[in-house]
Amino acid sequence: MSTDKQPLSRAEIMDKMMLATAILIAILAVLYAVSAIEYLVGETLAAYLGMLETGLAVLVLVIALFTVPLLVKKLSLNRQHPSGQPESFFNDIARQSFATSWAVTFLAMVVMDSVTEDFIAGMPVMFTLDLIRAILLGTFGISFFVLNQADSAGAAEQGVCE
Amino acid sequence: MNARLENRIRVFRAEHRLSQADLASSIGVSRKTISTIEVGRFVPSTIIALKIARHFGVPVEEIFSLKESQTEPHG
Repeated sequence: MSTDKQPLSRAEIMDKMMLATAILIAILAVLYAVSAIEYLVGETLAAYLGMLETGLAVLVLVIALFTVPLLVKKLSLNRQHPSGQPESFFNDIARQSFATSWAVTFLAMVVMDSVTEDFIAGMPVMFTLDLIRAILLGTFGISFFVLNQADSAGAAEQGVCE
Repeated sequence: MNARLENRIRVFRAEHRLSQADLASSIGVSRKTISTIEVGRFVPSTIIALKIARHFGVPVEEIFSLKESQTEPHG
């Protein structure tokens, strides 16, 4: 096995971009959940949650502004497979996670509409929007990392087969 | 009757003394993709399957095969 550090292939960069996107989505889900919770708690706790919200927003910006453009730059410099996007396991679990999050969010809205109709009707519109966004993005993040983790337990081999 | 895709990528890699990263780089996918194909977590497209077979210089059927699993017999 060579110890030389090889440049990342286009496929590896795409995987890293997908992972960075999933992390961003998961943080955004927490941010929206915190924002929704603010409507349910007292002013003191809401103020603390507001600070947490600001911190999460800064984190999202830092990741988005530094990580993603860096990967995009690496991708533009890498001409290994310039035509089309390579297929990958990460793309596959992202597709599965989008489908799961869509279904769960739809079900959650049906439940909100029927079971908690009175409660939702009494809340600000922004609460409902934050809640739906948190469910949509949170389900995606959970699904993505659970599917990724399920694989990590079974496939960790990196070296040359003997 | 259910069919499951089995593969012998690990065997071929061992014969050619290739790491997952080497194979991944050769066919233009990520190492994660190769590792998940090997353990049966990710079913590759026909294009990836053909690229892997071409890389090892064998027909695709020598690497990938369908394993039929019978459902429980009735009665």
